[in-house]
Amino acid sequence: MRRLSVMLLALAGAPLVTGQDPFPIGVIPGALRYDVSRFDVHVGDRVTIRFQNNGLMPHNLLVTRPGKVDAVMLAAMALGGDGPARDYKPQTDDLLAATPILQPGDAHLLSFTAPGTAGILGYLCTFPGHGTIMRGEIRVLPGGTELGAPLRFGGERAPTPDEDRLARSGASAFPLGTEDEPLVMRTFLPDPGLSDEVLAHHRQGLDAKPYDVNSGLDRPGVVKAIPGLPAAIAVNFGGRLSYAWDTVECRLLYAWVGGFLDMTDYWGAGAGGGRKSFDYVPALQGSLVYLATGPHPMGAEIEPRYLGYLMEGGTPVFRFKVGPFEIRERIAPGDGPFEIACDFEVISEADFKGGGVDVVFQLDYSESLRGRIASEHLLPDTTTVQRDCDSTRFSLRVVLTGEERLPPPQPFADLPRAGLVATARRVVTGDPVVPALGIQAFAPGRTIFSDREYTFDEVPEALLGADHVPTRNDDKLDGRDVSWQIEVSGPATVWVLLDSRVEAPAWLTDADAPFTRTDLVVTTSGNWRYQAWRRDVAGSSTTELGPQSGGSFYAIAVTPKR
Amino acid sequence: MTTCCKTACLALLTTSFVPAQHDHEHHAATDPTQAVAGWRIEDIAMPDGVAPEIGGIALNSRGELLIATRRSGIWIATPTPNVGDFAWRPFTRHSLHNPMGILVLSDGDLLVPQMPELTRIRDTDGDGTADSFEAVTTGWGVSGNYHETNAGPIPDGEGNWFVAVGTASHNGPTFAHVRGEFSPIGRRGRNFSAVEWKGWVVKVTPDGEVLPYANGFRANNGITLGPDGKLWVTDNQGDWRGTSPIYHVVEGGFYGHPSSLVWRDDHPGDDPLNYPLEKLEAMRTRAAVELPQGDVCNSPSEPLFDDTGGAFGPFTGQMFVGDIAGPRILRVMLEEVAGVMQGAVIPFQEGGSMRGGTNRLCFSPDGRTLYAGQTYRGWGKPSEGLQRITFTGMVPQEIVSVSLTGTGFRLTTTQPLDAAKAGSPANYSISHFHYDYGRRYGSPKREVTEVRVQSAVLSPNGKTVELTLDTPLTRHVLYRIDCTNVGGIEHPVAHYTVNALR
Repeated sequence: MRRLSVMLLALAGAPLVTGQDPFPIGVIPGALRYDVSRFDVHVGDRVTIRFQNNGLMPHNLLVTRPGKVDAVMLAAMALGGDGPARDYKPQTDDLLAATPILQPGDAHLLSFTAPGTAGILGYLCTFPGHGTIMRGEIRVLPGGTELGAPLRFGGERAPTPDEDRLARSGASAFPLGTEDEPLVMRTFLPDPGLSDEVLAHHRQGLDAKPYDVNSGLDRPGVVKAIPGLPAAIAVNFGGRLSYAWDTVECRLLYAWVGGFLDMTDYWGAGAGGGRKSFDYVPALQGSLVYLATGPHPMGAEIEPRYLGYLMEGGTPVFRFKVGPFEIRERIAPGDGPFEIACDFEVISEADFKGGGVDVVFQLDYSESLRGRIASEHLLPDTTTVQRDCDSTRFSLRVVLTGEERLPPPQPFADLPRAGLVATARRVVTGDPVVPALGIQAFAPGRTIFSDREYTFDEVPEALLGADHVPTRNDDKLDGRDVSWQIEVSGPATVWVLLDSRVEAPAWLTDADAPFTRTDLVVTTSGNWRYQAWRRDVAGSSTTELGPQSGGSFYAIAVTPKR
Repeated sequence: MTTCCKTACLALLTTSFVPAQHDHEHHAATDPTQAVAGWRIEDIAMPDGVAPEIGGIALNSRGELLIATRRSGIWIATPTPNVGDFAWRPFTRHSLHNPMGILVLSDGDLLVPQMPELTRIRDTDGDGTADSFEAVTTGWGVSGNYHETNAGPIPDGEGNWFVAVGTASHNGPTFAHVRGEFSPIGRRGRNFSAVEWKGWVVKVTPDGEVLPYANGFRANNGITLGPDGKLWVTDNQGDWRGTSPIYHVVEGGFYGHPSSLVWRDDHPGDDPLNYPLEKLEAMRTRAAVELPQGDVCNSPSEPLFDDTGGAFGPFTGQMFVGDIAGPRILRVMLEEVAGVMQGAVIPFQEGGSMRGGTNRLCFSPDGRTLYAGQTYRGWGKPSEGLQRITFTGMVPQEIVSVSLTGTGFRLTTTQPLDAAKAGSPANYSISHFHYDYGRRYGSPKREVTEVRVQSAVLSPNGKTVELTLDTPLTRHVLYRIDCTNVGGIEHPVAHYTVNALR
């Protein structure tokens, strides 16, 4: 299914030329990100950006003065019902340039003159809900200094300049190949949800108990067997195509576009060293376009044996044995967007023509690869290859037309939030007071903190749809003097969700108007429990919440007063 | 000056992959302490952009140096007099999975053990870069645990290769889908053997068959065949390892870590971790040499015998062993007593310009230089790169050998000792102690016992001293022999592991 135009990403090392060719910026479809997170210009440059919305939702791109990204986002939010008519573009001097809202498939050129002094400009999408994460930076460097390579979409962490420079060498935690010289990597790889049928030749790894070396006994708890592929090969052709081919299953398992792997958790950042203890499987960067399903395309009953791979014309050709056949499989970007060309060569130990070989090479890609098969050797209505070729070799090409995988629909996506929080401010001694961003409806699946990936799991009905103010888990660190000021617009109940491992801080219990401990419990990913404390407050009032150390930091919710 | 230089290098290494542009040759030449020490240590500049985590190191027939890196492929250089001038070129930029060795079959034809397989990596078209990556064997399991590493391969002399397959660690998970059979019993424990051949030394045949050879290993990150054909394996302190051992390995042997027993074909299906200690004690073969943790070595790696015929100094026939977790290379001297191998360990290079992380060793073709490839493999703070240690030709005063006699020890030195000092028993400080064998992680020294020297008799040439103890020698202990007060010896402390008495 061709829904999206091809996405070509700027390659590492390619210097940005401004003032001549427009600098291309696209989006990572489905990921709510621009595909470039930073690029450099010189002071006073005339900068032209070609913004192509190759995503699935409407987006714009607004360039802001240094330090004004949040201000522009808040100003755009303040447009309220006028937003759509104004392309979510606020009237403010903080803006240097802006595109209108672009529908998927549209492109727009915008130009502006970089300031005469060095600094860091911001850019963002102000379409509702996008502004907190869909952002980038334009570094304005003094004339004559060398411009760095643009930073591509970097997942959780953007590559450092050194990592970006070294991407082609394998020394970076963000390694990359090119279409001419793809990068082949042996490493642990993520399992993005492959079925047991696909992983038929793997064995099941089981959970285990923690073990105490002193007593020799198992301890309570469980060490989960985590998803991962132990022996697959990853290949990257730059932003256009990456894929995982497995040496146990001897087949293509999945393919993705827009990036390759974030090796940080396995190799460590920069010079490396730090492995993330129980979560070191590298992360895919970009968007999955193909995921294998069903049994091996040559049949469920085969016992393939991996032989190795050859490099032919810079591209790996995987070799495996099935019965009397050696199969050679070459996988490379196809002609069209998201197309993956799989070329098979089948070599027989015996001569087909001479007879005596009664094994049929059978390919059934109809389900598993959701693609079309083109080969002169295929019968029109089946996917069975005739064996009466007049040589011991024959080949066929399978072209997979990838389909972008969208993130799974978020439960409670349409849940409206209470809308009672006028502002929520995090106050830290020495830091500027910043209004909290990303207030959302309290619901299962939503992230709790602005600095962690934990999500709410079970939420009592009383709290569903509350205003959830994301706090920072790192504020739990000892000695951090943090408080929160929650200003509400109407009569409300302010809820503090306290990690059950943590003793209630004095401000929660001893204040003039103390919070009341309730029986309500919220659970989160990782099976943590949070006890709900409540206090009713009047409209247009401000409630101050104090610091807390240990466990995880508290969460904040606000509901209408009941 | 040496200290300054080391500090600067380390700072650079921890911040970037840009090779340290320090001219150690220059420093070494002007540093008199370096010249006296007998060996010059230099940092070899690595190619820009290559993560210098060295998992394998070897020489080809042209005298070129090959390194396998943990993530940046395999690189080749012709060694040059100046450590900054090595012209590195990639043999392959493909990122291999924890390659932990290189065996050169012929130029452009290598065997490299990776996490999931033993791979034959070849340049078949002669363009200088690899184009064929053939799985020689995929015959061991892969659980997804980061700790499972494969050291070797070592030719067995009959066309097969030994590979030392390490266990997994409880500091990491296993995957929900593994390669090879999964044993829930083998999965138990601190270091464990959830899939096949973890904690084993295996033989790989040319057609890819994996033959179990010996088991009971933990983190057996070092394997070599001695000049007399004996197989040696180093292992790391931890559970079932009171301290780090060096084993003389024979077919069918069990070397103390129980988890791997689940893969013996006669294993009854019970949990070896629950075996009575006496049963395991009776099954196990003790280490030939133990390396006291914290004092002598923390994480021993590849052993390498000095076959340089004196080009590298006065230690021909002895074994060098790197330490991944400390700035040192050790020297091990072995002897057979009552049919059992045992011997002593003395630091060879320690501190100064010596970097930590030494994982793999090889000699230059002329034997004057020992190359040390270094990496922590993500175990800890990076301490990685490539150093070379070159014999200056000036022999320092060192203990050349320590051997057991019926009543004590015989020490020989490279140069004559001071007759008065060496002949005085009070100048030798000797004690013995032992380590626990058991499931616990490491062991304190047990029953540290001072032993008096009754007599010290120096030979006429002043280079051999016979120490007679005033108490009978005892088995299954390490003797710590401290000759500091004799004076003038660069590394005056030896530890001798006694398995058998004369």
